[in-house]
Amino acid sequence: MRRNEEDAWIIQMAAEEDGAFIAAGHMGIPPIETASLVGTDALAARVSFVRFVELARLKLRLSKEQFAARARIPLEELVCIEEDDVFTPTLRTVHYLAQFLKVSHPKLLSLAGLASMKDVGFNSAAVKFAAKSEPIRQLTKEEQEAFDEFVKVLSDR
Amino acid sequence: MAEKRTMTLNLTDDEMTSLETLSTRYDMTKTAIIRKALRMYQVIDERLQRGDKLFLEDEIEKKKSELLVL
Amino acid sequence: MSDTPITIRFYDSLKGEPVDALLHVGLTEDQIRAAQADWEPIRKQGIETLHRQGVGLEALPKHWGWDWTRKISRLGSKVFGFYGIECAGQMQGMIEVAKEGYLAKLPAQRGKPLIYVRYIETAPWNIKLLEPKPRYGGVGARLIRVATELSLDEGYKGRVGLHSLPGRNKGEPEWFYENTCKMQPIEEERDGEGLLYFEITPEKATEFLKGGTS
Repeated sequence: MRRNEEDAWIIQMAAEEDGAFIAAGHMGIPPIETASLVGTDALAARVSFVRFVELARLKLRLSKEQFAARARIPLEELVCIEEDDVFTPTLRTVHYLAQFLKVSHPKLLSLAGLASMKDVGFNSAAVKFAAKSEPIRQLTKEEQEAFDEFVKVLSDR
Repeated sequence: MAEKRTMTLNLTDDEMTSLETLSTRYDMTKTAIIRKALRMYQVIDERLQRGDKLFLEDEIEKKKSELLVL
Repeated sequence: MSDTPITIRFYDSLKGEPVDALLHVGLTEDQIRAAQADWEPIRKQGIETLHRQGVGLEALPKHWGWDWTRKISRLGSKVFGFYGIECAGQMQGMIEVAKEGYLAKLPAQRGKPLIYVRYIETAPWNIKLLEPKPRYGGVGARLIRVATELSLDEGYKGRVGLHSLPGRNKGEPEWFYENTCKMQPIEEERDGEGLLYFEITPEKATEFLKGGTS
């Protein structure tokens, strides 16, 4: 193609495309809907998320600083997750937590209140885990078992 | 896109008929069919060299048979 | 593994004029790792910002977790092809295609081989949704042009197929493939993720490559 023709073509295409988002290929994540959890489910999910992150950190015997560094998330955000009941983590942080803890990203997003999953079994497991875990500093045997069982549910992609 | 070199290919009547049939069926030039066949042969050959086997499957009967490639 | 890059014309949106760029025919592992390292943080940051601004999850670009380094094992394959457009020392867009294994679905050309676009992405700073003043324009079209010309070279007469990420509004992928690239959607061929399949005929491919009013 001659240079003038090539220039005319790319100028036209740039105008038509106009900075459009053009990706094609697999999304790599299952379709998730916007958050619509209400009442008990939402609270259970929230509690489960906070307890899960806290227990994961305790199980790894890491301080907040160490955990944040290894998971590549801001320390301030980790503190808010563990101590602020109404704090919503960012998408980025949930993504990195799922990677670091090797659990399902969509499921962790759901627990964090950023999405919902139409999975009755998963929502029940979240409620059960929330009920069994309490804010203590050391993992009891029962808590360890509850945690391990919940990890299995979260890791099941 | 890549530079190409030309060669002459001698085929029997039957081979030419097969080539023409494939060319019509897939709406490709005879040259394109030959190039595609060569690529498929390379892909299969690489796998065979690794020790893999090539199977064909009968979808209806759910039977697999090994294809011998020399 | 890559051939010598080809100089192409590319649209610099900030300068408002075409400039020279390099089309890499075949990519190396280093090129892919560098592109991923450049794109990923900005792509994620951009999407994060949209989310904070109140854009719902369903409206966010769905490719934010893409990782091109996971495709490295397919480099050098005779069946798959990787191409990238480099300008100003950075990769501005990349595309992975399959040269074998995919047949056309449109009734007029059913069963005929085509080039299938497995993945295509433009650098996040070229997307208006993520960057109000995109740096380069026509990146997607230029990459689809690569696929179309490859299709011609392979004897597939310009036929190309792909599954678009969601979005029918102007500026979104499905709109782009139907309107800018002149591809036809086929509802019945949605994939397992529900992505809409698009395909182009030789006649429309000629129109697309020629440009101009149609």
